[in-house]
Amino acid sequence: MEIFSWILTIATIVAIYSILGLALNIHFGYANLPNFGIAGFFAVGAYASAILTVPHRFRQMEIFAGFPGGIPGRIEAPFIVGLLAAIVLAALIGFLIGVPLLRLREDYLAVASIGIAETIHYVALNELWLTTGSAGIRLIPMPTGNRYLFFLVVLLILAIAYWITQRFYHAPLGRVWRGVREDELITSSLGKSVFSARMSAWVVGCAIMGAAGSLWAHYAMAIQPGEFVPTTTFLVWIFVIVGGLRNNMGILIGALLIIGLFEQGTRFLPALGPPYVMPAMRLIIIGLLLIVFIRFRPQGAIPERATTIEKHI
Amino acid sequence: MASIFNANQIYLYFGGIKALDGLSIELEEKTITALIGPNGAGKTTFFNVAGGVYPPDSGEIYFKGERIDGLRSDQICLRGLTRTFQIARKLGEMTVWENILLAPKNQVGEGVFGAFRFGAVKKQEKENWEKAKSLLNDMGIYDQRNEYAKNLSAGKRKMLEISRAIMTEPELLLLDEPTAGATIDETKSIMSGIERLKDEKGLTFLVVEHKMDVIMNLCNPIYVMYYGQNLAKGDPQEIQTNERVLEVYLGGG
Repeated sequence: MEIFSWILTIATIVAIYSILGLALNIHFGYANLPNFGIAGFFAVGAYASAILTVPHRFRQMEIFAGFPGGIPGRIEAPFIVGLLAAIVLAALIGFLIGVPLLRLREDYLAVASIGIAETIHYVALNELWLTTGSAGIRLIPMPTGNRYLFFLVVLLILAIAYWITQRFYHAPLGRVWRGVREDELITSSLGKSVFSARMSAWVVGCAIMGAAGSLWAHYAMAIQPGEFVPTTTFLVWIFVIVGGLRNNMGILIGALLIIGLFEQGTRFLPALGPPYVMPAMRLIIIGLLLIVFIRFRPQGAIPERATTIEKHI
Repeated sequence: MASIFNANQIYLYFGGIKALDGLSIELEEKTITALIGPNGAGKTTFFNVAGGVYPPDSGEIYFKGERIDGLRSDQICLRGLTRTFQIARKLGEMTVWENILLAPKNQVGEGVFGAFRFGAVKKQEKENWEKAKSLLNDMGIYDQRNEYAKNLSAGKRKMLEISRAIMTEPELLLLDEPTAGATIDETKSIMSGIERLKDEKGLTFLVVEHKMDVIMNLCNPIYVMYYGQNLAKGDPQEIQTNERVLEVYLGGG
């Protein structure tokens, strides 16, 4: 039964990362918004959900003893409240950050978004009353109380995120987003506000990243600021590029391949040399794979596929 | 006849260069007016100002009696003024039909929540596509409807661009070299298409063009501009015999 437990772990992680990948597809694949701050919105969702749902018991833990005035453990809301709060808060923070951010050109936007995610990371690290700082939040309840059942919850939310992402691709709004991606001047001269289009894509993507954060907190049952660093962001970028930017099925396959096989799968290989060799090998292999894809198959394993008008209507 | 568009004493500077130097253009309803002038005269710059890409440094532009200078491109389009571009700009990684269905105004599915009103969206998409079908047939690009726009020839890209502009249901269309890169047959069908839209739908056109046979057969009146200023205005006969115009174009005199 050990093997089932291990597969379940990988499958849950892959599913949560897939949700992040779908959100990145809305940002970068549809609307050409290179968001390098994924970890930030992931953190907002995780912390919002954790702070709201963590039981009072957490306050008695030794690591919490230093923050008597703190918020965590006071609210004890159910998971669904945490999840919704994660979505709403990530969307709201995305909106506020978007007001200045989305006026930037793509390359500057990419740089600024890394900075914003790092800012969020440091807020989590330093606002002890809210987040308990580097000690992190523990005892976050896993709804259903059972990893197998919780995996189904994650799958359900992945399915909803997939459905929403697909719908936006085909809906008139997604067409406006892609119009902005292809040529802002044309899209604007056809009566579409470029700023509103970028904003709606941005907020929708941030909200989905928030949902993924909530699931992560309840799955891991403990979070700390160190998890929400640029490495998390880059991993999402890598599997989205390898799997197929602009194609949602490609993104699921990319997540399975990169997160599943390479991040977790190397555990089964015989250890070579000292213990630090295998993790380093993993990163080297992922890096090589990324280079190979960008050089030889920039559209990813499964590229964007156009629909015919006959199918559309 | 009533005036639908009036640009009055437009000035625009790029650093020390006077790109538009007191240019004035007035358009009568349901006419096809031409704007010609040698390269660098400022024709495309004027389109950019009228289309909201840059605001003028001074001067006013009225469209249907309301001031539009300083508005954004999308706001100007929503008021009924659509422009096209000199080099056919395309949404290359989108299909021809997606290019076309992007254009109609006030689509239900353009809102975050509106996108999920499946019935209403589908109904509107069908209606818009019905309107587009005959247009695409007239323009000769119906058979390419499922192609990516980047795969079209230069002439067909022009057709796509004009069709897309028409799908916004404008009252005034600013066409920047609508026949550039088009074959002789395509040029003819673009010209007859423009005339038909004027006659049947009552559209007004301002056309920048370098092909003199197109201008002289299609447009009246004709504005000639030179170094950002008005040089002459008149019907084709007057323009062809105007000495200053001949001097500017032929360099003689």
